[in-house]
Amino acid sequence: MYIALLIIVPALAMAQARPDSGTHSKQDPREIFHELLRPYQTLNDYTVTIQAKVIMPALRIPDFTATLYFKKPDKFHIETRNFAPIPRNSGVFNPFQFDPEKNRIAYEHSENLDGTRAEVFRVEPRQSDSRIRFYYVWIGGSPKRILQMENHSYKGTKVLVRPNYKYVQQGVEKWLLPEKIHVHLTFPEGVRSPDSTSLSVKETPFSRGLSGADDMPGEGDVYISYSEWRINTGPDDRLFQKNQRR
Amino acid sequence: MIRLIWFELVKTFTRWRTYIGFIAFGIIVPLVVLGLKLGGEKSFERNLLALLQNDFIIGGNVLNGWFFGFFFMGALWVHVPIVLTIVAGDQIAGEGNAGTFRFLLPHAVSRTKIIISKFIVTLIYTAIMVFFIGGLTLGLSLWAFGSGDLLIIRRGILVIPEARLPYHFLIAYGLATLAMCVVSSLCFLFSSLTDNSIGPIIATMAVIIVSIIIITLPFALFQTIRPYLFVNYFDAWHKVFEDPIPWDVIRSNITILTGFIVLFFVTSVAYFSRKDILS
Repeated sequence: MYIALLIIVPALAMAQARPDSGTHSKQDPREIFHELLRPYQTLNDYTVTIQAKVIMPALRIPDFTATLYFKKPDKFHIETRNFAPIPRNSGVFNPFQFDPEKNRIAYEHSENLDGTRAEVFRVEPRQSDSRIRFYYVWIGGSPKRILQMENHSYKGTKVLVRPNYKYVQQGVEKWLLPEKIHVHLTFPEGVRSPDSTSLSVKETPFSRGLSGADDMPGEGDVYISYSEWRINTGPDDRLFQKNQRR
Repeated sequence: MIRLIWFELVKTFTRWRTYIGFIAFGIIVPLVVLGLKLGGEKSFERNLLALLQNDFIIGGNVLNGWFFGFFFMGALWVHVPIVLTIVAGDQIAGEGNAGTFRFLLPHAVSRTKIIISKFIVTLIYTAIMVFFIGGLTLGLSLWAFGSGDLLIIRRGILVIPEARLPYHFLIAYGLATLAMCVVSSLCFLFSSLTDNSIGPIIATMAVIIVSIIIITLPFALFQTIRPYLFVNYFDAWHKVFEDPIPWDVIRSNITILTGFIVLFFVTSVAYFSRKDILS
């Protein structure tokens, strides 16, 4: 009896201690991601106006507005007169980003995210030219959506993305699209190797202010609001010729 | 006095050597703009934005006319003094070499007035040259690359909105003119010491080159000397592109640069007033 208790009690305690690690997602992860994609199958392109605010000590830029054009599967074009840095892999909404055919997806665990039950998946892009090593993707809500995403780049930058959604009605169709996103970037601590510039004083009247940016230190936030969604308007392909990669 | 300045202006601007600088920059600047247009722009983008492009997609016309106007201002620092010295070095030494002082000085006009008028013409030429280079570089760059916000990479990245840029550039060109007036004043001083106009040109350039070496090398001794060298204040124009603009530093730089101009000019007057005109 005592022996049985000694075995059962610690096993129960361990199961309590690990948050949902024992309760695996019943669904196949690939199926969940297919389910996420399904509502967007008829989305071929979109145009949206974005307004962004960048809060970073090393990047002092005024708030900017831009028009973003997207075309399936991953073409995009940014139109603005302003200097507009948009976080890669998160600022441009791409419903096909986590296509199960192009990513390795594994279930991690379940957790509560601001009161909403979320399943966390690890997603690894299969493409060899991807800048991202892997993502953690929190999926939950009804209908299922991405509640949070964390991407880890090969260069060491960690990006946490939290989107807010709204329904956009266009004709008879209704789309669940981001209304706002908050992107928190954590840059890796860079170690600059000694180079020829260490033989001269960096700050002189002749350094021209063009010496190239040093490593981006610390952290930063980008807030993006999306408005005026226009879906399936069929923008000209020539528009995407300049910057068309993810 | 006005007539004397006008007379000196006519003399200066009827010499072909006055136009060497205008011709040189009139050729160099369009050539560089053409080179940038034919692909050089891409290498700029790679070098400057490489760090950002890892984590961001960059939208907007980043490498625009304002950016290249700013780049030219930084890049042409060492070259502008060469063309300024061609005219400033000839102002007094040229007359001495030609022997025209013997005809000019016996007239009722004082030596001081003559030297003041020559100095004012030197400063006018300097201002015209700086604004010519500024106007040419900015005008051509804006025509070739369009407009947009100005990206400045120095201790991080700062973006100045397009609407504020004409104001920033106008002040920057004013401060650049002041810095270049120091060079012209030094060359003018050397010109008053000799009758050969090549000497002042070489001497001025030698002073500038040695000063640049001193302020660039990170030795303790050189860094102690640094505040006493006028080239140390050449980048007053660059401070206009900081955020917030350090007006107190700019004011102090203006005072120091003006002090150098006055020092060089007063020394020129003092020497020239006592100079024996032998040729």
